[in-house]
Amino acid sequence: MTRLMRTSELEKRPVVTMGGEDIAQIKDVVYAAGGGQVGGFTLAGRGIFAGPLKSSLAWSNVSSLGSDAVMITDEGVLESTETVLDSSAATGGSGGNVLGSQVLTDGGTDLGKVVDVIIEVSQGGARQCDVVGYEIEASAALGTSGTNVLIPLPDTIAASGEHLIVPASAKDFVGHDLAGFGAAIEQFRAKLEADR
Amino acid sequence: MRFKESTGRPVVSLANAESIGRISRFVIDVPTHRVSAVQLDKTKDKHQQFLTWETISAFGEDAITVADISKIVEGDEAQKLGADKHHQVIGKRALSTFGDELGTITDVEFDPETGLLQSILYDSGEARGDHLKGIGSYAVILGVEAN
Repeated sequence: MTRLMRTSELEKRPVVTMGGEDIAQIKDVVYAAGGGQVGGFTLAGRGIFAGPLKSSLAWSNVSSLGSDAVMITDEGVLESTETVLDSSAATGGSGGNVLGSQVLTDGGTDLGKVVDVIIEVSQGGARQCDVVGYEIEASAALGTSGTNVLIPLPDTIAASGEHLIVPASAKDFVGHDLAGFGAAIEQFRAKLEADR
Repeated sequence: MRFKESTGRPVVSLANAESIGRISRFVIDVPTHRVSAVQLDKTKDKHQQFLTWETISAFGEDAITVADISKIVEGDEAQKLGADKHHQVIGKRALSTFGDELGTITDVEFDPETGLLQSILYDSGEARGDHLKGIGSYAVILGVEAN
């Protein structure tokens, strides 16, 4: 079973051990593979006054990412933040922070600005966590200017921090809520596959 | 038998038929999914508060019987830790191993003969006793899927 989540919802989600202790909470998402995958999370302490932690959580050490908590086996799986950032960078750059980036089609049309990142999580034993779409503040090109829409992403994307390039056909698979968006992503990726 | 109904039940000495304490808290051993000890209150010596499961003669509907008062012991570190407020289950958040909240733990059903946990009850369902994965200050972790 897989489900889609907005990465903005992950912020402050508790990191809980299988022993039932909340040892941290998510601070930021670290992207890997050029922004196409989640590499891990930087962490903050629990509580209002707790600051950022020196340790981070690599995606490979996440037992499960649920609606209410990030499950890990125990405190021992946390690594230094440097290690997590470096290993994510080694897979092709962190992709930086895509929020605010302009999404351009390969045909040169501006679709809008990224306001959130949509990831796909499989329940239990997930070996990777794919970035499958962006929520964008739509431009005039989508005919729904000013509203937020979801656009599916191909497996790999070109991102510069300033622009993100998506295939022009992405705009035919725009979604408006997460419920139906999973199917749109599949259709979009199947079409890209067929066109190859 | 359940935790809630058993709490407050008297502990009676078979040697002299006196009440020598009252069930206050349960100590759960998570790896074996069983009650390993009970903590008492109203004991004669407030430093002697624990009954190791094996020393209980019978865990009855109306009373818990033990051979004599010597069975009530100070308790080891593990028992004291298991009896502290962070390791109590009733009223605590129930979280699945998948990271989804299940609700709040309402009660625990156990076998009065062996102390084995039979089911963990929460407000929207129940889990088998052997699906208990952890008890911590934040949550009780259960190996079940969210509804």
